[in-house]
Amino acid sequence: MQYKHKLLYIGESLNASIPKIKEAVTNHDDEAIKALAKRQEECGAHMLDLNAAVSGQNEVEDLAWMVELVQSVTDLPLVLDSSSPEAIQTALKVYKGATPIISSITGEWGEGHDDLLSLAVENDCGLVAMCMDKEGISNSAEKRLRVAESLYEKTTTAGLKPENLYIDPLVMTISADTVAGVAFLNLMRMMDKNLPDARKFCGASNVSYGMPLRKLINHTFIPMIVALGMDAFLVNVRDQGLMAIFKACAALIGQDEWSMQYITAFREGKLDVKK
Amino acid sequence: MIRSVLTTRSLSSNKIIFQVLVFLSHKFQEAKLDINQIKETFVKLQSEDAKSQVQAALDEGMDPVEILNGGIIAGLQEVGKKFEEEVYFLAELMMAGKLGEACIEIITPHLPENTGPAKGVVILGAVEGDLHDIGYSLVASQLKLAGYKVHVVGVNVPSMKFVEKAQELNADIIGMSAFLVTTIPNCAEVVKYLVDMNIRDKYKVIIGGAETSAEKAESMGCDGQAENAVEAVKLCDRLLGHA
Ligand code: B12
Repeated sequence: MQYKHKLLYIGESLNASIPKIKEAVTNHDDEAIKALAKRQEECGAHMLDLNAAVSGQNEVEDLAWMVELVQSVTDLPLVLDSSSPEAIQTALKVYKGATPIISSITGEWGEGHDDLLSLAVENDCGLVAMCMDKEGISNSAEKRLRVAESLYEKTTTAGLKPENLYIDPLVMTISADTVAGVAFLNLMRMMDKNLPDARKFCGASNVSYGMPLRKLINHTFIPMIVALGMDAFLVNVRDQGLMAIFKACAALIGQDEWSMQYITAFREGKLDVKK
Repeated sequence: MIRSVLTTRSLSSNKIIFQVLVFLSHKFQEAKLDINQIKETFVKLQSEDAKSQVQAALDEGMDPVEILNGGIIAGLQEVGKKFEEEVYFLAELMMAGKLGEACIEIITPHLPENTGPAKGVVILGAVEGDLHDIGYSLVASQLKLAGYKVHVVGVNVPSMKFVEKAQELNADIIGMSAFLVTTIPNCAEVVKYLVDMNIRDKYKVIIGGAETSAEKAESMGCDGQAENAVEAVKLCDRLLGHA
């Protein structure tokens, strides 16, 4: 295990599937969006995910609006989260600054996915690729690995740099399948062996869907997957306990020289989780 | 208990017989199960106990239909209610689904053969893209109990497969489960195929799932929708003129 990609924390909160954000997108509530962008930056996010898909609204306009708005208050790079190539293309036109990530394609190829892939290649940005195909999400780690490998093949052949590919092995809830966690850990091991160059991306909190005290499950799961090479996390960065765990993880996998970031965070009181 | 029987050896033989009888009658009372107890064990999700109680009740000669209805299905419905009331967690609902399946498997061989012709043939499954199978499994058991021949086609079933299965099995009713905003429209696709193939009149098409409604069913050209498994039986009876 080399842990060559620095742990990346992506703020998940600017997503229109969350009722409050849906409202803010529908009403073009500038202040609500700006405030949440700022807040996530303060909490230690490296990137911010933006999703503006509200049914009955104009996503093409809304995503571009969101990008400009967020970039007016922060320099953090963004994850453009949409299944609409048109929305992404329009958003890229107004986008400025450090390389964004496009999210996301799956192994089910079709026009939309190919368009997103070409956009990622042309603009040299990151691209999230989910390990599912037209047969859906397999609960077998081996099958999902095969989807991951074909995604790697397809995207790198099209000219995407391996380090720009963020493979999402898809975290599933242990509520619905007792071995969902184990299967995921095994998949991580196999991906580290077979696809060492690609980055690994996930929405880790799915693992606890339906469980009581979700935080406990999430906080336990994160170090397990960090140890197995997960490096990009779409998370609630406002969860201070979680961010403290990440700091400890980075120090433990050799990504924090002399543990200075950990120590600094300690001095700033940021590791005092009980607060 | 055993030890107390053994130590009676020194007693007179009459007394021994008496003791043995008392022992046996206790044993009998202990084992005598009532249906609510089975249901309760089920609702508490005590898997091993629930399965052995079902088996014991069958051994004792309790009516298998009663065990199924009053014990397992009633239990599942109660778990579903507790889940809706946020008393039970998703994992518990899932576990109940699996436990229900296991119990039904134990009971099935004991169910009376449906004498006489089946009320009708129903195919059931979740539409393409949909993996929710707990609900339609319940519907399947209730329909079987009510005298229908049920063929479960599974989850993530492509629209054309519903049509092909219906033709192959000469079905009377096509039943589809759909839960997601993205999968509910697939019900309309099945209807469209039936219309295109000029066989819409041959089948009744019904749907179910948390986000479906009678209105949605009608607007998609289906013949009906049911909120739960009991209603599903009534719906089928009505559509086929058994009501
Ligand atoms: C359990 C569950 C799951 C399990 C399914 C496991 C399984 N093996 O079935 C898991 C965790 C895998 C799951 C996954 C997902 N789920 Co889900 N799931 C549920 C949940 C919590 C309960 C469903 C259930 O089993 N209920 C218990 C049974 C007994 O009741 P029932 O299903 O309603 O069935 C009764 C009736 O509807 C009727 N009926 C059912 N089928 C039929 C068919 C016919 C013909 C008839 C007549 C009647 C009938 O009779 C049944 C018995 O009484 C519902 C919430 C809810 N309120 O329904 C969400 C829910 C359906 N899921 C939802 C979502 C979003 C998802 C996911 C997309 C989540 C995700 N982000 O990954 C995935 C999608 C997976 C997929 N592709 O299908 C949403 C759907 C929202 C929407 N409308 O789009 C819901 C409503 C939760 C929510 N409020 O957000 N889910």
